[in-house]
Amino acid sequence: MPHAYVTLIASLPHLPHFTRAERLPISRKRLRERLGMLHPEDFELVQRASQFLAWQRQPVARSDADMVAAYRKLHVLIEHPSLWPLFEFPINVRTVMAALRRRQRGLPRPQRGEPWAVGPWVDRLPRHWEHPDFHLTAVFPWIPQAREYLTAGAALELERFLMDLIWQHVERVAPGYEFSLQTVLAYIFKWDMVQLWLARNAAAASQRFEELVTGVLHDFGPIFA
Amino acid sequence: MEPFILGLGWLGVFSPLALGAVGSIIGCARAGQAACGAILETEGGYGRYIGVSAMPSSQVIYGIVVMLSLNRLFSLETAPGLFAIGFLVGLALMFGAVYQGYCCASAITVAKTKSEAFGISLAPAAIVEGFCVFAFVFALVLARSLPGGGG
Repeated sequence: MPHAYVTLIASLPHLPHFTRAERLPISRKRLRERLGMLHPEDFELVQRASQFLAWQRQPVARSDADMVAAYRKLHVLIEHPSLWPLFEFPINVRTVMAALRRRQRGLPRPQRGEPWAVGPWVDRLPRHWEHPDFHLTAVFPWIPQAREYLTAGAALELERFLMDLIWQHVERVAPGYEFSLQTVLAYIFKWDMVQLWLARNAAAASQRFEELVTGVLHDFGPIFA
Repeated sequence: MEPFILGLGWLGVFSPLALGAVGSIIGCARAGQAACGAILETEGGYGRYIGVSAMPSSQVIYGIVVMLSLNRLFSLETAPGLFAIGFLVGLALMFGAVYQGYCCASAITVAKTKSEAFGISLAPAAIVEGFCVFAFVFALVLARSLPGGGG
C-alpha cells in the first residue's frame, strides 16, 4: 500500500453508479489536481489509461482498420499488470459486440488477418460464427441478453447493459475500499463512464442547465426588480 | 554462548516496545494519510477522522506495559523465556498496529461517504484491537510465571 494512494483515494468523492449519478462528483480539473499526488511512474500509467479511454471514444467516421491500428499502438502501453486486468474485459465486450453487429448486418465472417476487432478472442469468434452466441456463453454469459437488445434495436438499453457489465467488472477487479494503484485507475475508469452517461443523458443535462440558469437569475433577480 | 543468550533476553525485554512502536508508526501514518485525504474532500467532522487515525497507537502502550513487566534481573534460565514472550508479543503488536492502520484508513474512507456507517465501519479495527489485547494480557500472565516475575 504505497503512501500516495491512501491520501489520494481518501480524497476522492464517492462515485455513484452511473445510472444514479445526477452530476459528476468531481470535475476533471480537480481530479487531475488530485492525481498530482501520485508518483511520476504511477502518473504515467494513469496517462496510459486515459489513452485507452480516449481510444474507446473513436469518432463514428473512423474505420475498423483505423481502430485496430490505434489499438495496436496502445496495446504495448496497456499490457501492464496494473492495467490489463481492468481493460481486458471492456476490450472483449467490444470485440464480441463488433461480431454481433457484423453478423446482424449480414456481413461475412471476418477473414484471417482482417482488421475487424481487437483482443484475445479475435481469432476464435470467426471459428464459431454460425452459433448464435459463438459458443462463448460459458465465458461471457451476458451474450444472449446483449444479442436480444441488439436484435430488438434497443440501443439505450444495450448501452446501459454493457456499461453496467463493465462497471461491475471494474468494481470486482479493484474494490473501492482498497488502497492501490488499481483502485485509482478503476476510479478514473468509472469517472469516465459517469461522465459519458451524463453527457448522453440529455434530459438530465437539460435539467442541470435549467437549475444553473435559475440559480443565476434568482441571485440577480432582485437587482433588476 | 552465554552473552548471546543474555542478549536474546535483552532483545525480548525491549521487543514489545520497539516492535509495537514500529507498528503504531506505520498504522497511524497510513490512517493519518487517509484522514488527510478525507479532510480535503469533506466540509466538517475532521476531529473524528484524526481520532480514528490515532487508534493504532494503543499497541505501543501495550508494548510499554509488557516491557516493564519483563524488565527484571535476568539470568541464563530466564533469558530464553523473556525472549520468546517479548519477541512474539512484539510481533503480534506490530502486525496488529499495521493492519489496524489499514482498517482505520478504510473506515475513514467509508465514513467520508456514508457518515451513518461510521460506527460499524470501525468494527474491523476493533476486532484487530481485540487480538492485540489477547496477546498483551497473556504476555503479562506468562511473564509472571517466569522466575523473578512474582508468579
